[in-house]
Amino acid sequence: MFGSKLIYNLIKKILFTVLVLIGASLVIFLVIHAAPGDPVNMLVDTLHSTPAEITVLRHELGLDSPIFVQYFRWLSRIAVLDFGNSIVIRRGLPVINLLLPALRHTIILTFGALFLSFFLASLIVFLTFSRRHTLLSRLSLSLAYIVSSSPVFLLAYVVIYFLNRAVIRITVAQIITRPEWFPVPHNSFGLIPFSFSVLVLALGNGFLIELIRYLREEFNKALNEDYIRTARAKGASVFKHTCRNVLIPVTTLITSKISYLLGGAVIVETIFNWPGIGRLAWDAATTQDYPIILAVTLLVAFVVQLGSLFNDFIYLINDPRALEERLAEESV
Amino acid sequence: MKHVYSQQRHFLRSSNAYSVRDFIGKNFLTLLGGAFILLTFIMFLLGVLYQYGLPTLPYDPYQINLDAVFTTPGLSHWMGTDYLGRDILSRVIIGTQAYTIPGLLAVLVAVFLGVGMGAVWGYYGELKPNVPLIRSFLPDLEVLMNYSMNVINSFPRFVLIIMVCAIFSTNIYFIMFVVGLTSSPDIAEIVKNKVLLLKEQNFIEAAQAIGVRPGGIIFRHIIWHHCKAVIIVQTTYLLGYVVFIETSLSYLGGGFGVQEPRCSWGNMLASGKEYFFEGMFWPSVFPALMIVLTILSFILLGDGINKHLKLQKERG
Repeated sequence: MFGSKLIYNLIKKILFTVLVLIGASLVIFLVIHAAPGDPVNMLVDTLHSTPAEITVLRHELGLDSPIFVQYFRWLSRIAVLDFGNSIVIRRGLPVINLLLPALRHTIILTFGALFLSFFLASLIVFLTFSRRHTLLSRLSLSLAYIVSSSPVFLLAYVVIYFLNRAVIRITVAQIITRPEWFPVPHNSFGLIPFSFSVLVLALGNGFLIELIRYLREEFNKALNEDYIRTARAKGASVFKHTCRNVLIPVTTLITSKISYLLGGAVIVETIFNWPGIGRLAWDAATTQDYPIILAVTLLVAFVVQLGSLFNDFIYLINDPRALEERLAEESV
Repeated sequence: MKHVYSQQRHFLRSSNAYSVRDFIGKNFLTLLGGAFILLTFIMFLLGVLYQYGLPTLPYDPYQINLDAVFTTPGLSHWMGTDYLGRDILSRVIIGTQAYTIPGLLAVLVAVFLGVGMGAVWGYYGELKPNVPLIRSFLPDLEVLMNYSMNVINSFPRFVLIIMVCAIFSTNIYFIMFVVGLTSSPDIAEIVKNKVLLLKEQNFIEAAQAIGVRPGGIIFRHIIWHHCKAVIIVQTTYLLGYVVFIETSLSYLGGGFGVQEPRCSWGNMLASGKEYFFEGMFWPSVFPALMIVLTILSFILLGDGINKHLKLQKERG
């Protein structure tokens, strides 16, 4: 079914992703290395210890070995998911224990926002094309523009103001039928922050408007094609014919813009106190908990690269030719 | 059918002189965005003049006046006063300074790095280090550039900014340098595609034949004459993003953005939001309106120029 060239290309793509991840880890390592201050000074009493003691400690920690040796030692620890221990937030707790629950929360939030914004964008684009030049379509499009150009923290308060009572009513109904896997964060009413943050993340952040812009462009392109004219002449559904052809590029957009959502998640989670990756990163950054910041940055880079790999697999399912062309464009 | 009709109309009108009214009607939103950006720039200039001692603001933006706390917007204070009795209009005007100069730095970094990398990436893509025996196994410049762009793109900007802030410095110029650095791949990609497209054309060959140096060809013939407009569009979007980053950091606090008593729209909103639900809307609504309108204007301007460019390309 799949040509051998295709499998070769996919393996090449996977290797490329691994190399990119190694490059990203190198960047992060160099950033830590360039950080001001000596890590030894944090461990010893600088006033009462002799230089000899400091040298011994430095040797024990491996800080006197060449930089690339230090890098490979660090990388081999990362490879077995050992990110060290938290130094401020939960002193002494391994970072991985904080990271995994947070990641689960963020994934739930991001997927919710992804589906909601996709739904809203397709609704608005459908309106603008089927009810062209009506007040409703113009109003919804301009509203989408205004909403996505307002920053996330501002939208948060608008949402709280207008939807407070309605959402509380809905979420109380949801809590009764809550599925087992759904996480409830430690601050009492888990679903209110959840619904608010999903809504805000979906609306704000520029993701929605990017999606709308892209969908409209693709629809415009597809509607001018010959096969649409044929379909129209036959009396077949134009909508079905366009959708099939538009969906493929849209999936690429969604997976390639996943970093938008993750960046916006930092602000949304901080405002609504949703215990995800973003909240963790913000807390770590304000308290200077280095191991957590580094682990979060690496994890996010990993997720973004996974998104781009996933993207290529979708291409494979949809249209193998397109992937081959794109890979040929990308490398060599 | 509609398309044909509009073409005919265009043909009929093109016999007349091009009317200003027509231009405004077609580009209304773009012009509106441009006008608002001009307004914010004038506000920035007023703030600068005020710092040199000229009386350009209605009140001193830092003057605390406990007799006039929460004055409603009116003739004496156009936008009212905040919880310390400071005039909000003056603070909104001074607030433009928080992002203007740093934003220009971000743009400068992004454009210089993006154009440089894009030009090299496109023009010298096939170059390889000339090592005997293993030459065919080495990656060429194209692959290397693609790799490094992928590495930069794999960090979401906001996460990278937070990391760099926590480790090095919370200086706004430093933050904007990072913003510029992470935006450069977008510009580089556009420039690269343009260079690849134009490299094969006759006028470049002619320039090479009469002995123009590669630097001259890249920067004068390709970038200056063909990439200017595209770069301007990217710059407008980037400036909108800069306003977003600056206000977000100032809003969230945590020692990263602008701090009291100095003002940015972000921290004015953060301090004013407490009073919104008590019925006093003006400390938070006016800064919020400024943020939304500024970002929206940058987006509208960018979209407008982009549309114009596309129409130009279609006409040939």
